[in-house]
This record gives sequence, C-alpha cells and structure tokens, in this order.
Amino acid sequence: MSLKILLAEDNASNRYLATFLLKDAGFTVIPAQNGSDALRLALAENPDLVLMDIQMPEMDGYEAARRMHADPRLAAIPIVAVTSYAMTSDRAKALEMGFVGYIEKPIQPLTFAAEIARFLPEKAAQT
Amino acid sequence: MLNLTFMNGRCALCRQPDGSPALLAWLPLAQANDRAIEPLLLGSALVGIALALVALWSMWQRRRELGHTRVREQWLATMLRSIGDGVIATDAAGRVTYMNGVAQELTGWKEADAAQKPLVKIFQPLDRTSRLPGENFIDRVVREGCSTSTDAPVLLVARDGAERFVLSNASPIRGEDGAVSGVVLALRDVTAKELGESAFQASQEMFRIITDHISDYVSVLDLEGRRLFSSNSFARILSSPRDLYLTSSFAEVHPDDRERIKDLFVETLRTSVGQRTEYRLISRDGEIVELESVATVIRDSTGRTDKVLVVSRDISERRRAEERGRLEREFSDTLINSMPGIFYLYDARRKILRWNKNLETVTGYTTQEFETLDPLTYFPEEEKALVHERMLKCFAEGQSDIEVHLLARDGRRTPYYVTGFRIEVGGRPCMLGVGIDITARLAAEEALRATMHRLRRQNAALAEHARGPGLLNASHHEAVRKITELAAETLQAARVSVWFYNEDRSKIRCSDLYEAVGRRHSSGMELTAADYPAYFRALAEERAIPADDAATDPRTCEFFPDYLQPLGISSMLDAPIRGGARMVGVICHEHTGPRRAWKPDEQSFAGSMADLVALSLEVSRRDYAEAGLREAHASLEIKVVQRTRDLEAANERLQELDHLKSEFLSTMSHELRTPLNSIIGFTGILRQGLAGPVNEEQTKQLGMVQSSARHLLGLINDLLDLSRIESGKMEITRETFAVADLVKEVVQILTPLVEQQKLRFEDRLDDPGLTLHSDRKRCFQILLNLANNAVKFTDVGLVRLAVRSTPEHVEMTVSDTGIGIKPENMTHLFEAFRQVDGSARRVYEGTGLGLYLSQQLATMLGGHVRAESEFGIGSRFTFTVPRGVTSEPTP
Repeated sequence: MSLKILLAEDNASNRYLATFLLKDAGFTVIPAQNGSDALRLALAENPDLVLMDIQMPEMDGYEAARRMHADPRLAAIPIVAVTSYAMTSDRAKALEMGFVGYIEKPIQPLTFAAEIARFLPEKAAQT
Repeated sequence: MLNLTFMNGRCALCRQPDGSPALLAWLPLAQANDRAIEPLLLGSALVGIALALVALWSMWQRRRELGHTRVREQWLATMLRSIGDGVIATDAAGRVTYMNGVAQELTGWKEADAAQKPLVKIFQPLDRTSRLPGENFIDRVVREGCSTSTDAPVLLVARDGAERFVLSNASPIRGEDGAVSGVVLALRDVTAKELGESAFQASQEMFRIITDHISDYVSVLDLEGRRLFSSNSFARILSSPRDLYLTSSFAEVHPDDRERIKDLFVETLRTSVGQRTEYRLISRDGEIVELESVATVIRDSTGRTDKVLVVSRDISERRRAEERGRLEREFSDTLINSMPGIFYLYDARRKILRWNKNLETVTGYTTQEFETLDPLTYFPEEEKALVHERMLKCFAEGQSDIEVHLLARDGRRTPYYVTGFRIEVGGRPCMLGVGIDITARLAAEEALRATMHRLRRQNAALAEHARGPGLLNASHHEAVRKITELAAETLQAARVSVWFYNEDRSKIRCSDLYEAVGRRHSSGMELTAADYPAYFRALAEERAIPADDAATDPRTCEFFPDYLQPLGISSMLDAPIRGGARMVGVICHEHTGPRRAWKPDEQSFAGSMADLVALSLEVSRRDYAEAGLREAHASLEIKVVQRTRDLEAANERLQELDHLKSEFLSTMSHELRTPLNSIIGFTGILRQGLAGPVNEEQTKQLGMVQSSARHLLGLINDLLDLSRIESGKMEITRETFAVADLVKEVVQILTPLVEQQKLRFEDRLDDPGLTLHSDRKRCFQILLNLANNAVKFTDVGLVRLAVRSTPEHVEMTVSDTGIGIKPENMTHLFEAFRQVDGSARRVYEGTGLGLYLSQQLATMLGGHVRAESEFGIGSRFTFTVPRGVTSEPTP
C-alpha cells in the first residue's frame, strides 16, 4: 500500500504538476482545492503527509494547519508548506506554526519527490 | 748790602737766611741802617765803657792804696752813678763788691743786699728763647783774663721777677801783679728796642703770610710805578714776584685801560689820596682778568709820599656771576612777563617781591606803586576776606586756589582763577601766585548753561510728545497741530507753520499755522514759486534756512513787503520735512521783536520737529498699508492652513500608496510565480521525458522555454527584493556556511553559459575550509550577480572568481576581460534601473537592478561591493563581507 499524501493547492495547473510528480514517484495523492477541503479530506482519508499551499481561497494554509493541529485525530499528521511566498519571515512563521517543512515554488521537478520523502514519518517511510 | 746781611744775622731780623730783597727794599733804608748800625756801636761802646771803667777802677784802687786823690775817687763814683748803663763789680771769687744805681734797678738788688753775694744770684743771664742759664762768663773772664760780651741780648730776670733784655760785657780787673782780681760787668737795658724789633719782625712776617694767603694781590710800587714788592699770588696770574721786581706795573694792564690807570696813578701821587678803580689785566696766559684795585700812598718819615701800596682783587668771577645773575633776571623777567596770566610773589608779610607786567596792566598800578602795594589792594572789598583766608591756607598747606576778581585802580573788575604755591625764597616762605583771566571761560559756561537749559526744555518737549498718546494714535492733522504748538512753545517762536508741496512742487500749501498770541490755528494758505522764486530755490536745496535777519536774508527778503513787515517778523527758521528720499514740505518758525540768532541746538530742534511731521505723515500712510497687509496676511494664513492640510492628506495618501505598492509587489510576485511554477515544472517534466518521449528539437525548444521562465523568475525576484529594500522589509538570516560550497554552486549555475560563450573560467580559493557567518542566500545572490555580469559582458577571454580572507573579512573578487566601464559611468554603476550603456542594453538583457541590489544587500550584511574597471580592457568587482561570529549556532 502506497503512502497517502494530501495535496492542498488552489491552482489547478500546479495541483496537477505536483500530483503528476508525486504519483510518478509512487505516492497516492489526495488533491484538495482549499483549506476547508483539505481538513475534510484529511479526516476522511487519514493521509501520511499533508502538502499545504499557504494562500488559498476560503481557508488559507495557516488556518487549515492550525485546525489540524487542534484536532487530536489529525494532530499527528506532518504538514509541509509549499508556497510561492518568498519572505524569510514566511518560512519562519510556517515552522513556528508547526509545519515540518517549507518548500518554495517554483518546485524543482527533478528533486521534488525526493524532498517530500524526507518529511514522511519513519514507520511510513519504511513501509 | 753786606752790612745788611751781616746785620740780619746778628740781629736775626729775618729767619730766612737769604731774606727777601723786596722786603728789604721796602724797608725804609735809613731806619734799616740805623737799626743795623746801632747794636754794633752799642756793643763797642759797652766794651769801651767797661774797659774805661776797669782802667779807672784800677787807677782808683791804686790811688786809694797809694792814698792819692780823693777828687778822682769822687769823679769816678759820680761817673758810675751818672752813666745810663748798669755796672757791677766782683772780686776774683765772683762775689759782688759794687753795684751802681742802674744795676740795682735792673737786678732789683740793693747794693747792700747784694754785697758779697755770688754774682750769679744777682745776675743770671738766660737764653731768650730757651730761658736756660747761659755760660757763667764771669768764671771765663777770671780764668781767661779777657773781656767777654754777649752777642745777643740775654734775658735778665730781676729779683722782683721783672724780665728785661740786656747786653752785657764783662772785663777782668787786674792787680799790680797782673793777676785778675775781679770783674766789672756792664749791662745795658735794650728791652724797649728788643720788644720793638720783635713786634716789627712779627708784623713783617704777618704781612708776608697775609699777602701770601689773602686772595687779593698786593704790590708796592715806586713813584714811577715799578714794582718793589709783589705778593706770591701775583705769580699765579703774572709771573714770579722776583721776576716782577722793578718791572712796570702798567705793562700788563689791558691797552684800553692803560692810559686811564696811568692817569689815575699820577693823580694818586699828586693828591696823596688813594683811588679805587676797576680795570682789566692781561694774564700771562692771555686771559683777561678783571681787577678791582685800591691804591694807598706810603709816606716816609718826613711825611713825603715815596711808595704806593696797591691791593687788587680778581673780580672776574664776580663779574661773570653778575652777568649770569643779570641774564637770569632778564630771563625770568621775560618769562614772567610773557606769561599769559598774572604772576606775583610776596612774602608772609605781604611784601611783594616779583610780579609781571600783566599784573600792572590788569590792576593799573605802576611799577613804582607796586613796590609798596599791599596785594589785598587789588582785590574787591567783599572778596578780601576770602583772598586773605586762601593766602593763609596757601602758607599753611602749600597750595590753594581761588576764583576771584582783580580790582583795577579805575574800578574795573576782571575775573581770575589764581593758584597760589608756597615756595622758599632765600629761606623765607613766600607765596607765588599765578592767575589766568577766566572772563571767556565764565562766558562760555554761561552760554553752555543757557544751551543746556534750552536743550532740557527741548528734550522735555520731545519726551512729553513721545510719551503722550499724541502722535502715533492721532490723525495726521491732529498730530501736525500738536507739533506746531510744541515747536512754538519750546522755541518761543511767535508763529509756527507746516507746509507741503503740491504735486509739481510749484507751490506749498499750509497744513497748519499756529500763532502763539491768541493760540490760533489756521490753514489752507498757499505760496507759489512764481511769487517767491528765491525762497523756493532755497527750499529746493533741502537744507534748513536759518534767517536771523529775515528782512535782508536773500532767501527770505522777498516776503518783506507782504508778510514780514505787516506781521513784524524779524527772524525765520525753516526746516525741511523729508518723506522717504525727498523733501515733501517745510516747517517754519517765525520770530517777532528784536532779531534773533538761531542757535545750533535750536536749528537741530527745528529739524526734530520736521522729522516729527514726517513721522506723523508716515504713520498715517503706514496705518493704511498695514491694514492691507493684515488682510493679506490673514488670507495667506488661511491658505497656508489649507495647504498644510492638503499636504498632510497627500502625505497620508502617499504612505498609503507606498503600502499598496509594497503589497501589490508582494501579491504580484506571488501571483506571477504561481503560473511560473507550472511553466517551469511542466517544462522540466517534459524535458525529462516523464510525460513521454520528446525528440531533439522539442527538447531544445523546451530548454528555451525553461530558460525564459527562469529569467522571468529572476526578474520577479529582483523586483521583490527592490520592494523589500525600499519598504525596509528586507530580512537577514545569518548562518554559518562553507564559502567553497557557495562558489561551487555559482560555478555550477554559470558553467552552461560559460561553455556556451566559449570563455575560460577560473575559480580560486585561498582557504578551502573558509566559512562565513552571514546570510547565505544573499551572499549567493550577490556573488552570482557579479559572476553572471562578468560572463554576460565578456565576449572573449577569461572570467576569474577568487576568494581571499582577512581576519575580519572575506573578499570575493570577480574579474573579467570584458568590455569594461567608461570612467564617467563609474559613478552611476550602483544606481537602480541603470545599465551603464544605453546601447549595451540592447545586447545584454537585464533589469539593471542587479548591481544596485548587490550593493544594497552587501551593505545590509555589513560589507560592500567595490568596482574597478578599465574601459575596453575589463572589470573587477569585489564583494567584501564581514566574516561574522562563526561560533554562533546555525539558526
């Protein structure tokens, strides 16, 4: 059973790009279009990792992450920020809020999957 | 002469053995001869008498023994009694056997008392000077059997102590056998003569000493005027006394005086009356010596004039002193007479000693009158007490002064300031007074007092005007009325008026006329230049017109028939009123009654009045101007407030816009990067063949898409950085990293480009283990920018990247053999949006932000970027960054 990655990304083109690269690397991808979508799918699918865009309509990535951390059922799932915010403070803020990683867009197609793998929990990675 | 010399020795007339021929010559020769011969005769006579006595005695003894004649005995006794000399006889043992009366008188011994006494008890001759007993010549006479005489008188001390000078002669008495049986002693009293001679000697010596020591010259002349004697003092001015002997005393007399002196000498001889005269002598040095001489005739024993004694005194010094004194006196007379003031000197008893001509002139007393004039006489009665008091003060304290009047004989009084000084004149305290005429000073003081009084009045008037509410608040018309009143009152003018020119200055119009009599104001009169051309010309000179005599003054005389005469105006004082640069009118002061000389201060005051009018005029104009100004000011203030408000709003808007811009840039950057993410991502996927196989051409074109997309991303990043820097939001994150990794990364990125341009690229690291504690991303960005520029602007040759370190810094240098930079462009190198060469822009693409951002970032990291370049040769950019605290843990 492949590892499940929840991908929250509002831009369809970018969502497709990331899904393509992750599937190509053998992950199961659960795409979400915004923060609230991501929250709902996370509860439903119990993914191994969440890739979270920060700026999204309806509910942004920060808010979604805060709620996931606040929900005991979701608190254990690692969340990695994938964002085109390039401010250093954004990275710091993200790490402070409990994101385990911070990946800047544009993503590097060659290394993207490998980068994601670093944030997977050990037991999940071993399986 | 021989006799004389011999006689001198015997008689010791002169102690000097040679004696003085002059002295001797001066002595009356007859007397000298008498005196010289007499002792010889006396001595011889005495010897003769003694011998005769002895003979008689012997004979008498013999006769007595023989019993012969009693007659002879009696004769002898009588003779012995009657001769003037003393006779003493002794036996061979020297005992007295006989004394005649004279001998008894001389010795004070009675014959009876002296009989059989040794002769030495009766007659002991003493040396006249030593008063010691001389040789016992009786013994010698007895022993030697010859007679002995004393050479010089000896001193005989009588029994009663009386002293006498005697000459003595002792002769032996021989018996029948020829043996000496006794001695006869003859004594002659020469006391009177001896005493006379010693007095003569003393007087002679005294004469010599006196003539030697007195300053007067003494000479004795014969009847021809030849010098018989000259005192030694003559030697000093003429010649030695010896050389002068028998020379003419007229030879050295000054030629101008010689005849007169000769005549006088003859006259003296003729009348036997000595004359006092003054004459000049030529000394042996050729000097003229002034002498004062007194001649006295010397008579011989017969009462005939035979010599002349002349005593002369050198009065040259006295003459010079007199001359000096005369000059001094003349000088001091001139001095005190040429003094500007008065001068007098009087003693404590108010006897006047000196005074000058001025004192005579001022007081009117003559020189003769002054001799006996009490100084108080020439002071007025009421001031005498004060003068006297000051005199006493002067004598007591040494100095005093007084302002006093000198009262002339004719009653005229002159004020004087007199200073008295106490001085000593001839040991007596005297008062010296000097005084100066203070008439002019008192007049000046009086004038000054008057002026001061006027000035005080004027100042008071001005001050009152300045203090009062008057001028500045009054209307112009009101102010002018006040000014005319003030001027009339202060200057005591009968009429004061203020006039202003019309437009073309062809007339003046009266603004106000104030008449002191009746205190009336009027206005509106006019004077035209056509009627009074001279006055208008005078006005045009814009100076004050003080016309003391207005009727004849050329400037004002044309008013005479119409104006001056009817109103009785005698003097006018007009002062110009100036408004701004030119004269606008005139203020006129008119005086009635006797003519009046306008004083400078009055003219000045008139000027002040004119200025007051001008001031009032200006104030009224300014009030109008100020009202307008206040209005303009108020509207301006409103505008300023409005404008400030606008500016504040604009500023807020600008800040807002700035914020919006930053936000916009941030959003835009995000929004732009989102599609770029897809473009770059999919291009990568396609080129990797992840989405299926692509042919070579497709791969090449996908590469171009990717390159363009990355370039676009770079531009977006630059813009974002710019926005962050400008909004101050650029953040620095420091970490420790290996410089070698940084360089490697840069090289990796640039390698494709370098290979593409066929450039050589070198990188050199002095210390491969070098680390930096700084913002890695920014350092990378700067180094990449510099290296990228080097590659971009170099067509052929070499790009070198070298890193070296100092203890404090790391220097990363990128050098190239590119196009270089012109010196004039070096200054603009680090400015935003600038590519140095307009033409280069077309060839080398870029935003022109790179160097600007690099420099800004380097500065934020505490370092800098330095550029060196030679146009056409190449450039070198050095990025210097502090090494930072490497021990700090990586955040």
